Amino acid sequence: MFEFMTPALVYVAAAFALPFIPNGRWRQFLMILTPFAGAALFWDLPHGTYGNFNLMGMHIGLMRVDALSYIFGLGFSLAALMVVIYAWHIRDTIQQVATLLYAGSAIGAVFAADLVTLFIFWEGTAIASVFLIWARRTEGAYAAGMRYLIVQVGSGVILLAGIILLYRDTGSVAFRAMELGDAATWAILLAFGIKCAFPLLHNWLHDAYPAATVTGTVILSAFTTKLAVYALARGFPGTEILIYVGVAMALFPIAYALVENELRRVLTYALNSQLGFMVVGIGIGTPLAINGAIAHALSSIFYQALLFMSIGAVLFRIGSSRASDLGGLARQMPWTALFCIVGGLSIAALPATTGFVSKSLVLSAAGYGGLYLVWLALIAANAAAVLHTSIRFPLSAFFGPDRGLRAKEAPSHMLIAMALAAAITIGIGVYPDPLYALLPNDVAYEPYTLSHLVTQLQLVLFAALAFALLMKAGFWSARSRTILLDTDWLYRRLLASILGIVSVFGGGIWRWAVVIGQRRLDHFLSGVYRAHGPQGVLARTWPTGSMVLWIAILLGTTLVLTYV
Amino acid sequence: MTGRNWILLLATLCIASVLADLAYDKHGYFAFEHLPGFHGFYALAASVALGLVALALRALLTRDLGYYVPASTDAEDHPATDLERETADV
Repeated sequence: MFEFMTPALVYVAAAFALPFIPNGRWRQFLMILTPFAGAALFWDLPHGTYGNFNLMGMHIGLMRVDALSYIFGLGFSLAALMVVIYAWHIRDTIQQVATLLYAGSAIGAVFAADLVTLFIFWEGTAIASVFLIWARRTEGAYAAGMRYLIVQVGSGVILLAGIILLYRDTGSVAFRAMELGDAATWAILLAFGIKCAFPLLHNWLHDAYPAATVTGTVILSAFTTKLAVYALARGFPGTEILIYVGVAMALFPIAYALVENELRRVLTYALNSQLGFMVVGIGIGTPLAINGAIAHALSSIFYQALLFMSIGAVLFRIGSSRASDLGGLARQMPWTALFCIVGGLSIAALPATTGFVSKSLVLSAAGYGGLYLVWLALIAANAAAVLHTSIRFPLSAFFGPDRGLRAKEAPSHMLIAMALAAAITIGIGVYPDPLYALLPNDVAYEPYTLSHLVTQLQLVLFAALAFALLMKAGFWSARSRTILLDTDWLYRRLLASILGIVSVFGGGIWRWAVVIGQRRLDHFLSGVYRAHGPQGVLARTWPTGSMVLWIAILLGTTLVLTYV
Repeated sequence: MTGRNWILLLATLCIASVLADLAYDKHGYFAFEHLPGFHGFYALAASVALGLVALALRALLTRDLGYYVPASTDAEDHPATDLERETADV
């Protein structure tokens, strides 16, 4: 057993080796092999902490293998394999290296036994992933990447502040369940919340993901937010405030997802809403709820990636992912359309998909807990997902009026990646036992009861009817190339305007101060010049005889005064 | 199939699902769940309500694509180097 064991190092080593391998088959094989090699490192390791050492008195554990880290490690490894296959055509070394470092950092973070290791990999995901946005190589992408980086690194800095405070208070940096209360735990929760896209901390998600490259968006969708869900499940299970935060997360993005024109951004809002389910589960904190949150995080990696991959394939072939530019592509890209529908059905939690077997756990936990308002909110969010993602999303891209777009089906490697995600989505949906067996809490749960099946089908059917009625009423008839303002307007426009006004006023005050100061300085200098200048009193040269005369007068005066 | 026919088909399936509710012993978490068709009617009401909220949001918050330009990708064409546009006759 070597000292520095963590699957992240496999990814880091591969990322460093990659640029030295000719860009072609060998490099692609290395990328494909990396997730397998990373997974092999923990695949059959007994539970325990590996890679232990002391760092300045702090106990560091690079790899903790337990049920929670194992299931996320496995999920992330599968996701890494999926995105590497999807990005098989990429010859851009920066994107290849960033992909491996990003996936490796995410996997390293879920295995971290201490907060210092978590912090290092936490920042690793931020720094590696921004290159997937910058790889678009446009001015807009550069700006979006900078905003993303500021938020993500900011989350890391807040996490570091929390860790320092926690270490000062407790003398330990172990990453374990925490009781929310002091500044340290609030800072850590805030850091997790930024990465999890809590309400009002969510803008980076909708700003940055649609700005990335075709494959970059898919890769980004798989790791960052799920890592935050893992961190919340590990650090704050049963923290009540998360229930209300989760409900707000589930509901708040829906209105945006219903009317947003950019379909990759529709998916980020849908993803944000699904994260709400997971956060609610963590907040409830019962064994069933925690299982639900984790199962839903895992299942959403794949169905969400399926949706992102399908619109990515459309973008790859058509050059746009705006609803206003698309339509009628199902005949030309039938497989992509089919995979998109599978992802859409899963987000709706239709039976025989992973969404059904994972979302049911969270809903049941809310039900068993008697949280009827929470339950009603989540049911409403589930119904809305049918509208904005299950129906509107594929309808906008693949069905509806033919806009004369002519494109080839997605390349075979993209189809293979989508097929892999679809197989997981349906396979686990039909036979959820392998997923349930990996969950950390031993809770017997049967999703396929008659009651569940009928009520969920009923919900989906009525939501579809609502979609049809709204469509008939012309709700989605106005397809225009527009954007919707979100709360990032506060800092992108309002704060910028305020800073502009402050700059104008500040500039005026500065110029006035400079003029006044200049006058005072001139006045002072002319006074000095009068005294010390060539004609000044103090600069005159006096004859030695005058000096002697004055001294004689002074001494004479002193003599007279002495004897008077 | 026309929009009207889709609505009729969906409405028929919805009614069938409500009738199905009467045919078995429902195991809900709350008393109100036992109302026939509760999940469906609630989903319908919630969807329409959220749709109306979205409508208001769209009316208030819609802006031109170039609103944040140049610090945004909204109005940019996706770079051709990242694409592989292959057309096909269908």
